[in-house]
Formats: sequence, C-alpha cells, structure tokens
Amino acid sequence: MGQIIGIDLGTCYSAVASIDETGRPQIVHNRDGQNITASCVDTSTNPITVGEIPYKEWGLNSSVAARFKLQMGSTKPFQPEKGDPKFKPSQGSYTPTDLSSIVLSHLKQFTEEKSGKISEAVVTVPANWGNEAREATMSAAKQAGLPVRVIINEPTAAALYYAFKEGLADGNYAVFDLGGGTFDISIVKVSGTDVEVLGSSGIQRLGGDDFDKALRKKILDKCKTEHGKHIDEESDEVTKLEAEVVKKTLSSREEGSTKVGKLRIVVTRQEFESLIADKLAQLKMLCEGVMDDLNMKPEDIEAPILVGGSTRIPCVRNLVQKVFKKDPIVTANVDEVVVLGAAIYAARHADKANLTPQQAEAISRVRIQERTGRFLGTLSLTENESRGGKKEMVNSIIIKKGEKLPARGSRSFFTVREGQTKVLCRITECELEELDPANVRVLNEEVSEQEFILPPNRPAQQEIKVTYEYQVDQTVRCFFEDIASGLKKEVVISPARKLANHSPVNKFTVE
Amino acid sequence: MTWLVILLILFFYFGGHKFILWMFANSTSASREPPILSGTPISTMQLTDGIEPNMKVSCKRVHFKGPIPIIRDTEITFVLSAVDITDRGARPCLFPFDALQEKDTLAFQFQRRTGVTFSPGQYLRDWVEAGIIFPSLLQPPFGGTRKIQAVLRLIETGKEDIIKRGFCRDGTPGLLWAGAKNFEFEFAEKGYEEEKIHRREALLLAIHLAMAVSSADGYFDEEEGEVVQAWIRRHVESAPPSEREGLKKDMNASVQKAYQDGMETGIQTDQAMARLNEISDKAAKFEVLELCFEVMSANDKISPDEMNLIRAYADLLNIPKEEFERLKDFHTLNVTLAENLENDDERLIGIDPAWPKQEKLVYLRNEFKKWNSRMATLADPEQRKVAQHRIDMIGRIRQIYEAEETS
Repeated sequence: MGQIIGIDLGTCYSAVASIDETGRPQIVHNRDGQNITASCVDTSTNPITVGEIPYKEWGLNSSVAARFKLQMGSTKPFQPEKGDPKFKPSQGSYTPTDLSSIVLSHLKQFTEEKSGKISEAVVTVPANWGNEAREATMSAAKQAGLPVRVIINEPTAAALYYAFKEGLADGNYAVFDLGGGTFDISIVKVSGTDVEVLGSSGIQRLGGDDFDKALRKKILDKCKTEHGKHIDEESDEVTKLEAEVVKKTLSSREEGSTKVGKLRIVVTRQEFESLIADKLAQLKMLCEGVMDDLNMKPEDIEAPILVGGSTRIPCVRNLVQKVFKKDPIVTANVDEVVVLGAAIYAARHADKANLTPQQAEAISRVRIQERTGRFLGTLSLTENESRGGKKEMVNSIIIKKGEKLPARGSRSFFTVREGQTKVLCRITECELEELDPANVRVLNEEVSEQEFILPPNRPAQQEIKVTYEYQVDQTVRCFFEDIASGLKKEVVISPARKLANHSPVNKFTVE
Repeated sequence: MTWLVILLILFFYFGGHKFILWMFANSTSASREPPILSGTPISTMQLTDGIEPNMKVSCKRVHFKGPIPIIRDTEITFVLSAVDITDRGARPCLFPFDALQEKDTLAFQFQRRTGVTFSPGQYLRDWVEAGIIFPSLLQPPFGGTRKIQAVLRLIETGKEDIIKRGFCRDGTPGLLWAGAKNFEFEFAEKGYEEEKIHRREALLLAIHLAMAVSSADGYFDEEEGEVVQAWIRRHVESAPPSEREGLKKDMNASVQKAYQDGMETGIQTDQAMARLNEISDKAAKFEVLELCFEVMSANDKISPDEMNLIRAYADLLNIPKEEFERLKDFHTLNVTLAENLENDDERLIGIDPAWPKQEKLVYLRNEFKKWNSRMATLADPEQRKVAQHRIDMIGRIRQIYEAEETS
C-alpha cells in the first residue's frame, strides 16, 4: 500500500507528515533528520538544491530563491518583493509555481526514499487564498509528480489535528495561524472529532518574515545611530538570517544581539515589540473582524489555538490572550500541527483500498465541514438608484462567503438588447461583498470559450438563469441557462482545472 | 321648408351617393345606421378628467366626434400631443417613456389607430375616445402652474411622423383635422428648460467647488488645473454646437473667479453648496464629487485637507456614506496618500478626528477588512502596492489608538 501524506508548503519552511499503520499522523524527517525543510531553492547547483543550505546562502547568492509562495498564482517569472534579496537564476527563469514544484519534488523524493511510494497526498494552502493561487498549488504538485486530488486550508488542517489527536472539549475555537509569510484566522466548531469551519480570514503578506525585515532595518539603523556606521539596505553585511536569529533569541530573552563586522548590536525585546506593533494591530483587527462577522464575542470562544512558528513570539501570544481573553492552547508543536492535520485529511480522502483496516477505522471518525471562502458572482448591467439611476456594471453575488459546502446559488438576469445573440459568462470572486467590478477578480478571464451564444431575432429582456454549485472539493460548476430556448452553458472553476491541460514539465532535476 | 334646405345641403355636402353614415361604438369598429342628423355636423373634441384604471393615475381623456374630412377612402389615426402655452411661444411637453413618445423625439404623443378605412362623408356620431394624457407624467419646459394645450389631430395612417415635437403646419399632406383644448396643471417636478439651466449652473458650481479642493492644500497645482481644463473641454465638446462658445466662456469665467478668490480671500463654498443642493439631482451631485476626487488625486498625492473638504461636500450633498466610500476608493486606488504628519493619517484614511473612539475603531476595522480583501483580488501590482500602503497606514493608526488606551 502506498504512503498517504500531508504536505505543509510554507513560505519559509515546509514539512511532510504521513499516516502510520495504525492511522496516526507522524512527521517525516528530511535527509538531515529535521522536521521542517526550508522552502528555499538554489538554482545554480546541478542538481538543484533545496532546504537549509540554500537558505543559508539566501541574500548572499542571487541564484537562491525564497518566499516565492507569496506570489503563487502569478504566471510571470518570480521576482522577489522590495526588501527581499535579489533572485537572478544563472539560466532560464522560474515562476513561483516552478519553484514550489521544486520544493514539493524534493519533499516527495526524501519521503519516498524513507517510506515508499506515495499513493495519496494533500497540500495545505492559506485560508484566504483565491482560486488562482490554489490552482497554482495544484499545478506545482502535479509538476512534482505528487498524487494530489484535494488541498486543505492550513487552519482547518490544524483544527483537524487538534480534534483528532489532542481531544479538545466540544466548543468553538479560534485557530490563530501566524507563519513565515501569511496569517490566517479561522473560527471552528469542534464536536468530538467533527470539525466545522464557521468563518475564516487572512492576511496574505504578514508573517515572521516581515518581523525579520523590520528587525534587520533596526539593526542597520542602530549601526548608524550608535556607531556612526552607515550600511546600505542593499548590502549583505547584515543578512535576514542574522535578524531571524536575533528574533528567535528575543522569544526567550529580553535582549538579542548580532555582530556587524566588529560591532555588537543589541536589540531589546521592547524595541522589537514596538517595531512590529503596527503589524500586531493588523492581526488584532482581523481577529475582531472575523468574530464580528460571526456575531461572536470572546466569551463564545472556548480557546484560541496557536499555529505557526511566529506564534512563539511572546507579544504575539499576549495579543492572542488579549483578543480572546483566554490563554491559548499550545499542546502540540506549532510548526507541525498543520502538516499533521493535512495527513489526516489525506487519509480521509484516500481510496479505502489504500488504507489498512486500522487506518480506515481511525480515520472513519473524522468529519469536516468546510464553508465557502469567497463571494462568487457575475458581472451585470444594473441601474444604481442612489446615483440617480445611472446604469453601470456591477458584481452580482450568486454564492455568499461562509456558506456550508456544498453550496448552491441562483439568480436571474436579462438580456439588454433586442436581437442580442451572446452573453459573456464571467465568474467573479471577492472576499467582501464588492459591487464594483474593479475590486473583484474574474476567474475565467483567460478562458477563450466564455461566450454563451443565444438564438437570434429575439426581443430584449430574455431571462438568463445563472446557477453556481460550489462543491466540497472546491470545484465550482457554473451554469448559464437561457430559459426561453433551454440552451445551457457550463463553466467549471476548479483548483484542479489546469491539470487537464497540463503537459508534464520535468525540466528540473532535483538532487 | 328649412327642413328641406338642410336635407339638400347635406345631400350635396356628402356627395349624394354616400348617404349612409357610419356610427362607431368605439375607435376600431363601425356599424351602419340610418342618419340621424341635428344641425350641421362639425368635427369637434372634448377634454374630460378621469382616472386610468390600470395605472391608477389621474388623466385627461380626449374624445372626438363629427365628420371625417376626407375626399377619398382613407384609414385614419388619432394623434394626441401636448404643448405648453404658458409663455410666449408654445413649447412641447416631454414624456419619460418610449411608449408615449414621438418616434424621433421625447415629445409626448398618444396614437390611436382606428383600423378602419373611412369613406368621404362618413362621420362619428357619438364621442369616441381618441387619446389620453397623463398630466403628472408630462414634463413641460418649466415647473409650477402651467397652461397646457391638448392638441388632437386626425392623421392619415402611416403619416404620423408629420408631427414634430408636438407641432404640424396646417396643410401638411396627411393632416386631416386638428383641434385643441387647454387645461392648467401644477407640476411638482422641474421642467426640461429649467433642468437645462440648472445643469449649466451646476457645471459652473462644480468648477468653483473643484477649484476650492485644488487650493485646499495651499496652492493651485498645475496637474490639478489640467484636470479641470480637461473636464471643461469634455463638457464643451459634448454640448450642442450653438451653445459651445457660451458655455466655454462661462466655465472659464468660473475658473478665473475662483482662482482670483483663492489668491485673495480664499474660495467660499457655503453658498455654492447650498445652491447646488437646491438645483441638482443625484447624478449631478455625483458628477461634482467625481470632479473633486479627480482634482484631489491629480498629482498622485492626497492631502488630508483635500480629503476633508470633499467629505464635507459629500455630507452636505447627502451622498450616502457607502457611495462616498466607493467613489473615494475608486479615485484613490492609484494614488499614494501623502504622509505628512502622523496626526493626519486619520483624516487621510477618512476618519473625522471628532468621531467618538468606538466609531473610529469600527470604521478602521471595516477599512482594514476592505483593503485586506482587495489584496487578494487586485491583479495590478501598482494597485496592490497602494492597497498594502493603505493597510500599513490603518495598522499604524490602530497602533496609536492602542497606545492611547494603554497610557
């Protein structure tokens, strides 16, 4: 029987967990015996290397790429964001999907070396990711040769693990997941081993890495103000890695220091906390916002659950305690809960034939209820009453965010002109109920066959019924039906959509 | 003897050979009956008040009776128009729905086809309903009490287009007969001429208010000037050719006046706002705000004073909060908020420093939610940068509130 694994593809670190013979999730150690592997790729080596060694080279060697997860969904060659070390591969170019695929391929290789062929895998993604980033993740997994059929939101995976393994009391929990690059908050309802997601939100660009950057800038400032030494921000005299070491020290001590040439630069915890106070304010607002949306107060939450390496920072823990007015639960390793939950989810989705009787028995207890993470709609011409009846394109919502999966929504629209022979089937997504098309993403923009051809010679005001079905595997089936003629057009939006057209690209060799 | 003379006249009047007349129970059917005549028949119309049963609105019903003045077999259509005769020179009344408009104009027109081909000598003995006017839906040139003339015409079917904007010269081929009745009506809404005058005045006020926004940060910026210039050009070009010169002159004068005020005493906006409120509809108010936002974001920087002024305009114009936010977001998506003083962050983001703390917190949280969600959907890197900048600013403001609470 093949291995059933979960993969946490993180911004800074990734991890793999598998399901043992008895159905319990366990971490798969990498070749260095570590639980986690840096999501860092050195494209200059042959074969390409992944992990700790490239991570140490990051910022010193421009062939090393990191933090590419934050750009998943982009089809352009990866370009680091402002403030990150430059990335200039010696040959060719790499999209964020390519680089993620290299990391996944590396994880696959060492897992199969240790435990045999993988038969089922689940990769985790941040809860607030849109469809494109999810599609890109599925694509990267396929490119790496992983048998991935579904993906799972990171906080949901963490909640699943806690419910399955740690035996939580029944109630509502806030999963506070602050990783290296992203932040997610999910409120889940746990009853035994059943997990129901009530609401989620996230910040795409906020994590430990931002704290490292702020700390590095502080160190550079201190060089100048305390020692009169100006160091250019572009310089590699102080690396982000060194800043990260100081940050980790500050989690257990009041002071952390680093050497810059012959200078010793000391940063206090208080200084660090004031550096990141505005970021913490963002985390707080998001948590309050999710509770608001669910009409919940801190007293409705049994306890917050900490997930992600950055929750080790004392002021982050204080913040969680302050927002939810309760001590957080940290009974498992914050770096591992997501991947362990993903492994459980993989087993839940695996063919029963691939499970041992014990595995099947253990997993059969797990139930998960996800909700729609986005508003899905379409664009239509509507009169805006409050603007004096001005006609404008608006985003009309068909399925709301937060509905239980599977979800279904339907609305009728009408043709505008006499003799109108086509309508554009545009499917939009947004996280808030946005009306303005400028603030929504059209999911099927690049699909050429998005026109729905209608019979000719008909008057205006022909009814077109639009129905969306949001399925548990996050596939959305969209039907555009012309009521008078009975003609129908179906458009499918799915994280796995690109797989059908995907030609296996194996241009990368991994060690 | 008299009786005999009348009979003789009638005999010749109707051509003798068509002595049988048609009587119509309604406009589309006719029945043959022996002539019952009393005096010389003349074509005439009447106007009566009524209620339209389907629409439940008051109406004026127009009826016709009498001979059909034709010299050969002709199918006829009743065409009803309404013109305003209050002032010197009659002007058409407009109607808001296509169904009761002239083919090529917005002027009111009610057509009723009889569907019957009449022969010379035939006449309608009883009153036949020829058309309806809905006075409350008419739009005369000006509002208030107006004198309206209902004009009923008998037209040869297929030639209804000879009536233009409610008028048709006597003797026009196809026009068989015309009659008119007057009535008075109190119009609550503005007339179209009035609207036109007010629209033009609103354009001048918009320039005045936009110039005030331009000078809110202490100086008239060249790029802001270019926005006003382009806006004027757009309006002048879309005006009818005969009005362009005059409009351009007035608009330029409005710019010069505001500029002069700005340089000397400062631009006063109270009166302009009050007048704008008095004369403008929602769409015009939005146009003013849009121009102000365009001016504000012209130099890719927004000052808190500019934002404050526009917010004050929006409040005075009763623009719904969510609509203001939409406009604000739309016009500031590509603009960096100027970071002058920490205290200004609040105003830049749209918070009135006078608000109670709780209101500020809720507003801030909603702004954060909005921009954070847009980070997930905006595809343009520049727009994402702006969104991130906005998020960072919101974080800073919240941090200040937290610090205030702690202290």
